[in-house]
Amino acid sequence: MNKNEGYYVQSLKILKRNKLALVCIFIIFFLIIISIFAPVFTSYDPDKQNLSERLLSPGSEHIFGTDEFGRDIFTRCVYGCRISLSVGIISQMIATIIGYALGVSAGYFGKKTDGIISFFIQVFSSVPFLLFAMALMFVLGHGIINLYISLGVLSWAGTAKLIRAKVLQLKNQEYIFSSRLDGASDLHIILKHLLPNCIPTLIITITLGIPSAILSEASLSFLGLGVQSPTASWGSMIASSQTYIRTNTYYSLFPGICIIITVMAFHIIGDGLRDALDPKMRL
Amino acid sequence: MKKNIRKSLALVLTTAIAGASIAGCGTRPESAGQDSSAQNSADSSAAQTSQTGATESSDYKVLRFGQALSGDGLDMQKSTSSTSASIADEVTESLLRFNDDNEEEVVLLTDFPEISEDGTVYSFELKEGVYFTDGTELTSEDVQFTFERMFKPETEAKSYSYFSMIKGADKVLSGEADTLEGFEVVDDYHFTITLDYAYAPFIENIGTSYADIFPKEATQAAGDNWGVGTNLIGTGPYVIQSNDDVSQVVLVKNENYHGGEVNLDEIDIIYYDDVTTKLLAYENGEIDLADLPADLLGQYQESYADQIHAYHPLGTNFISLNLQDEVLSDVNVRKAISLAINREELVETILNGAGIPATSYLNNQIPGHSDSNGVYEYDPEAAKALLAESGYEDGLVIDAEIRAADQTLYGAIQGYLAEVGITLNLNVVDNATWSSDRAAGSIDLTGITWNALYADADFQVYTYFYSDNSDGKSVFYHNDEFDKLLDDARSETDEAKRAELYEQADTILSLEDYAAIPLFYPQSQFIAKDYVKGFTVGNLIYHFWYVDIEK
Repeated sequence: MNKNEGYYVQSLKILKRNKLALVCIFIIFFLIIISIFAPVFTSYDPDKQNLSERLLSPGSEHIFGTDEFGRDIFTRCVYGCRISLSVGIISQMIATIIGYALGVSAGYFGKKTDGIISFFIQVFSSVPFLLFAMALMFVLGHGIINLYISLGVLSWAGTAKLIRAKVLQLKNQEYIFSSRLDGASDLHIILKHLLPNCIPTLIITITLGIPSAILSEASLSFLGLGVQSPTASWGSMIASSQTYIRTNTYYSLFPGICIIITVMAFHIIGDGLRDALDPKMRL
Repeated sequence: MKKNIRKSLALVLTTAIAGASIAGCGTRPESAGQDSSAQNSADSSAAQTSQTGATESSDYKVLRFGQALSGDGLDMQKSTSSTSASIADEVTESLLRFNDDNEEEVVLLTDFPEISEDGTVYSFELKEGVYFTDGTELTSEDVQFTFERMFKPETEAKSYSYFSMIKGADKVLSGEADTLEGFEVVDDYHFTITLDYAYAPFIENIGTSYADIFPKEATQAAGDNWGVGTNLIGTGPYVIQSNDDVSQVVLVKNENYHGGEVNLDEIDIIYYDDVTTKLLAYENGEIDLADLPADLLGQYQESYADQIHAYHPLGTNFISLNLQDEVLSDVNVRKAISLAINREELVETILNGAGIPATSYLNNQIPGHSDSNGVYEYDPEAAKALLAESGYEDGLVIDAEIRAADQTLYGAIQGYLAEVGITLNLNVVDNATWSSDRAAGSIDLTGITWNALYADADFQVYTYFYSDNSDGKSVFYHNDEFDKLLDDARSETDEAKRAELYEQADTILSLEDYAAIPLFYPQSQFIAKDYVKGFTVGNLIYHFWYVDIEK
């Protein structure tokens, strides 16, 4: 391997060799396009009911069939993708900002700050996640914004733990010392020197965090604590399809497949990125 | 690279295996469940034999009934829920009762009471030798205690208004008096009740669950806990053996029942918050009997045609509105909600035809009901025009709090309302939360079926919409003309005239004021295994007095 190439160029090369990950990147890219341009992909309104066409099996009019209110299931899956991806991405943004800020502070400042933050990391990683998320949704109430917040606020601990470890390792490096001797402020060091070094870790935690956020959203919506009806979400679709599982099996199958594909794609990309970004792989 | 493929393969496989094992769980108990239940009943019968010395253990008959938990306890002075009544009515009895043909019959009396000519004095004679299951004998004093208790402010009874025409009831209600002036004990087995005015449905009201007779001593000893756990003792055919108030109540046969021996040895009432779970339990043989909501009829009617039985309760399903709410206090908004809903389509599709689209509030089997108006009109354009008239051209938002069982129905209503620009926020809560929020007056819009316990309009209208009563139901409907019509109807003894008064009152309520938005008169169904014999439902409350099991 050419040692003169930059770190990210090398990583990209490694990633390119991972064909499965590339396919998954394509899938996610496609899902993002679908989410943004949902109305282009379907001519139906996801929330408009038409009781005369309820519970239809997949056919030429409705390729995935219709639900108990005569709404097109394909359309609802497409719009549900918006919810899932936005919940996954936004809640991970929130978690990453909190996780990075706290992780860096703990690692960099050490002593009491570290003690307190580490304590909270322990607390947040030992509480059963879904139970905590349910309680938080009870308090905050339904709605997509509250989903972003509760999932974001509850899933920063893993990120913080990794960042803290990374910073502990970095802060005694010579270039940090010299920067400090040059009179650089703490903020300068955290943003200019530590952050770039943490980016590979962050990329991996974000890519692996998104699918678990998507699954949590599906679980919360399944339990009726997620998005407000009539908004389509894969989890709430599965919840309402339970009733009809005997006669309209397709109804629950499609949103289920959507969840599986999305979550698996993110996991595989996450694995691929880890392989690509981990310097230990480059021997 | 290879590792990744293997990883994702592993993931797929694990998912598949997990899926298969879940599916396995779903089907397996079909046979195993029945075995274990048979064993359960054998076990409990063994326990029973040792306790009571019964002879045959294999004949021990257990009925397992699945229903929702009302959350109101089993004291029928404090609960208005038919699911509470289904249990309470097996344990406690009223002086008279309604059988499953909706006819009133004598229970604790030697005969129907004698009524004075002016219709105000009722003379009763109790059966002798009727014992409560704690061993005390039923006397006039217990009856007196029961009636006085329901008026005492500290009881916080919900249904005293069915009996508040008893002379002196108002004084007990206000706390001025401790004893009920109109209740006179003649001796242990004779007593009279005097009313303030002639009130025709009184004889029927004392046959409802709300007039279940309690033993004085035991009730006083239990205090606030009456109706909780095993603290409910009566003269009925069953005794509460165990009750955790959350998951299950076990009733066992009252060996000394004054009405003769009942067929079943034990009734297990198992609570399910979720209808789908309940019906899965039925399919798996974990329960023998359950009610089947109309929206699920489509899923079951083909494969279980022989086990599904329909009946028509004396009720009306309607949208209950809080008239104190800023938006809903506007009659245009209420009328617009009504116009936005296509009741015929709703019944045909969501309910699978199990209901009759409403023409007014009063149920179609109750005197005073009128068809002259025809089914409520469906006209979304007219609804939009009405909303625009009130300044809601750009739409409006209404918060609904509904119970899980109404989710599908209200999903459809949400869709109808969206068409005319009304955003209905659905907040689904458990039954207990719903009950307490409703009592607190904090619900803006909800769905309910209000059932009369017998075919009389007083029950269906007065108990929900008369000013005082509507306040306790998050409705707050106050219309003097309407109240006056109900007052007049109560003391009117001519049946035809009464029916006419109720028709007028109903017109004001549901066709002029739109204080309630009637949707349909429901048809109910229950689903029962074929070895459950002799089970019929007259009007919503499930009674197990004549049920038998022949396996």
